Amino acid sequence: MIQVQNVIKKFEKDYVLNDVSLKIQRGSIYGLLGSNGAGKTTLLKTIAGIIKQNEGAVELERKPVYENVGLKERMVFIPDTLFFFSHYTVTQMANFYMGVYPNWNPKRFDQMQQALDLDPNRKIQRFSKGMQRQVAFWLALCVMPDYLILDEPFDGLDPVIRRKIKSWIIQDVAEREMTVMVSSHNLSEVEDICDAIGIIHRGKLLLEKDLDELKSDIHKVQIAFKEEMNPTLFDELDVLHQEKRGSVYICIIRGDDQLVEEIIEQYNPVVFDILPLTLEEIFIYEMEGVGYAIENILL
Amino acid sequence: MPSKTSYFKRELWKQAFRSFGWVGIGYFLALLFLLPLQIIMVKTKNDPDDINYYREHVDSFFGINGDIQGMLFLIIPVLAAVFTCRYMHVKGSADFMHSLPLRRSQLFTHQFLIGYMMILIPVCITVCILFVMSGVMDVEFIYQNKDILNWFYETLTFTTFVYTIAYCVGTLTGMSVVQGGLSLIFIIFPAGISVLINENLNMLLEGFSVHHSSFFSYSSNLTPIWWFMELSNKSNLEMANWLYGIYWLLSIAFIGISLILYRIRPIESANQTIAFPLLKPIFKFGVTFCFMLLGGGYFGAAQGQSEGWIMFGYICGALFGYLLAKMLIQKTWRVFDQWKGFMIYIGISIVVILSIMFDWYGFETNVPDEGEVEGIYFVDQSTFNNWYSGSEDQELEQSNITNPELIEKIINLHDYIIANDHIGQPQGVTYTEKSTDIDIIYHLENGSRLAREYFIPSIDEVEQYVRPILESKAYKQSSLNWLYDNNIRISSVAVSGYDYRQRVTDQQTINKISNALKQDYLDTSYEEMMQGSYGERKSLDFELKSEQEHFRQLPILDSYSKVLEVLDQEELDRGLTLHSTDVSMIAITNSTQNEEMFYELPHREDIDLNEWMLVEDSEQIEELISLDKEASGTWELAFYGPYENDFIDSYKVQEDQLPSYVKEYFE
Repeated sequence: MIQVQNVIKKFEKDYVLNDVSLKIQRGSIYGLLGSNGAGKTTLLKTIAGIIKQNEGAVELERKPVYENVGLKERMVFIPDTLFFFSHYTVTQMANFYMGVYPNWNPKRFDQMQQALDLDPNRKIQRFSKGMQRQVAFWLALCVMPDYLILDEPFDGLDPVIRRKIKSWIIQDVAEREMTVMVSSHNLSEVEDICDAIGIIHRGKLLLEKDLDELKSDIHKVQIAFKEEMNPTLFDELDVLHQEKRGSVYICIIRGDDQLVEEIIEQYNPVVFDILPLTLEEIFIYEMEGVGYAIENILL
Repeated sequence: MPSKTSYFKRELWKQAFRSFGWVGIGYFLALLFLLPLQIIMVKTKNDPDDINYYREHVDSFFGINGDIQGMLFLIIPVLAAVFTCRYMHVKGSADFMHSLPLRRSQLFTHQFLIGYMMILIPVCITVCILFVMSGVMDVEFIYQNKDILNWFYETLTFTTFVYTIAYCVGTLTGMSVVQGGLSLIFIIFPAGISVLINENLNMLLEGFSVHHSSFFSYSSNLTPIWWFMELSNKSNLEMANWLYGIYWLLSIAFIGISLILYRIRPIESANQTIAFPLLKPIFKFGVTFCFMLLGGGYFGAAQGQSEGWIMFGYICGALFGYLLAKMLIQKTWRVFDQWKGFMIYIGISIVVILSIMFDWYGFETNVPDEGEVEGIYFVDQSTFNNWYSGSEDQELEQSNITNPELIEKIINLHDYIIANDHIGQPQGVTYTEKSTDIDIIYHLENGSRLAREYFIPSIDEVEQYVRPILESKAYKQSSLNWLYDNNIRISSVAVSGYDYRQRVTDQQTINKISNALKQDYLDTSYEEMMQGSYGERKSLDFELKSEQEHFRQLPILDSYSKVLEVLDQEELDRGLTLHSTDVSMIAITNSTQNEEMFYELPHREDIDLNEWMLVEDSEQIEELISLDKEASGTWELAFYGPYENDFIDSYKVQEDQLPSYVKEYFE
């Protein structure tokens, strides 16, 4: 379990993280969303124990992560700009990891090599960007980490590789209850694998949601009445957004779907449909609720 | 679950060696070529001259390519430190290395040692090779086993010191280039800053003595470059043993500081000039201060220490330093927007500088009372017998004047200098025949020392104070302490005359000459001492058996009757007297009217007949040669030989000694 409490990080006088708190359950995948410069990378590096927060606590399994070798042995951080020692081949790099991480799994290394079809004796810097990304995951997963911290891992990758990498992550999460934290500036890139999403903007965490809960909790409803609509209907419901097109009302309503249905049925609508919402739509309406336009924060 | 990892990470060593092992290999090759190979070359060439040279002049391994070794002492440790610290200066690698499951102290230990091996292992291998060589071939004439160990210890002392400084700087900064530059600056900093402060105080304070400022000798001792520069003209490091200890202690201190800094170092500071925000203002104003001193020193020296130019130099220097520091910190040249810090700095500086200039601390007017003074070390730098090197500490520790009457004279002289504004001022110094520098070092009853140095534009003005001091036995003995000190052995004396030079190595004759000189010198008059050694063609050249400054030269004055007698007895007086047959012309002038002529006796074709009288008649020459020299005389006689520009000698006589035809000529 990753727990971040009231973390403040300053670079000189600028607040890069301003009172950030979040919690990630074991075996879940957490997506951290935010535009460039929102503080995503800083938060991830703080969680990875690379940089130290000025205030607050960053704990894994209720122990501070900074300078904690026992925890860092079970964690891998993959930065947005990959780093390999210059002129190192995959094998040399693997030997390095093997010397540093005690849980290194050589069998898995061989297995993945066959699946990847990459020459382990070639210098990594000669590989293409996508191949280097695969090498990074190859090495990271052979460490058998319990925590995997990924900074913009899918940026600029083609869909095939993206899917491959996602499947590896999901597999480890399912089999070994690995905990993953993924940052992105694009919601659609991560919505299919994340269990929970947090949105960070100018160093502050604006919103944190469990996706299953979110999807079952918000509904798009189309209703039409023969006569004028009784305005008390909307008072009974938690309406996030409403608009009228001709005689049809389109509303975004929060609440249990059965309860919503029961209430609306009492008013005898002529038309009544509950439609599915995309995750992006959900966020647009949620953010409206807290006073932000999502277009300004996410693409 | 017990951890199966060990503290030692082999992979870190492998990685480091792969990326900068060349530093160590290069160093080893350089040492190999500089020492073992050089020795083998000498050995195989087997040239008796070379072998003799090594036997006589090479006392240690620093005698073999010592200057290059000195350069390597500087370059290699800095390179090693720059490359070992590089992992924390490059952003990607800094993040990566610190995401690994390694404690900071562990990473530090590994990296520090890896770099240190680059300077340790090559030296160790070289030492082994040298030992093996001394076992299998005859190299006794160059070195013995004890020399190897000395070299090992000395080399390691310096390289370790430089390496730890450079490493410490590496933890302070986030850029490799800055690390390299700052390391070199740190290494020369102690000597550099003390030179700057001394020179500036010297300009601002009347009487400030650069030579006797103990600050400088300490700080230059701690500047290894000082010793490396010495290596280029010496074959051994003449460094006191306790200094080695200091170097090691400082090295350990730098390691400790590095570790502490590294543990709190923000990793995100990779790529920044200064890694710790707290240090930025210190860096900024430190650079400003140094450049301010440099600017003031430069313009002061170039413009004859005029106060206006010094102030101009301070402001220009400070401005330049401030902007430079800001540019370095912000890594852009467009830094012209914030001036508040600079204004505060300038304000404080002006107050400090004015307080020194107007002597609020009472430095200039501080003259001790007679009762407080235990003794004085007094030096008049114009007298011909002063060999004077500022750092001879043992000289400063003793007094040469302890007689209460003379102490009173010196204090009166000191009072007189302070009371008269035109004496002793650091501004507008022009050296003339009569000018001199006077050093007064008081040793006070309470054990402290008070050193002052004054420029005296004309010694005549203070003659009444200076004469009894210079004529005193104590002063004379201290000014030629090498002669009067029985512990110093003289290995040879050469007698130089007008056209002849004889060298004496016989110890008995040497003793006779030096004993006669000891007596004669005590009888020397004030005028003769003030005459200076200029123009004196007859001299005794002593070679001393001591570590430094082997040669001393003293003129043979006509008044040295005992010396001349000994030389006559020993038949060493050839060429000491000028005969009329050697002289083809004498030029005569009145030196009170032509003081500057003293330094530049004209070539024969340039002589202005209004100022000079030329005598070529042999009878007249005979008459003029026989005149007795008078050091206090006002007329100058210059003697020329038969060849073009063949100047022989010149000396002074009194006006009443001159024959009537000379006086008539000038009327």
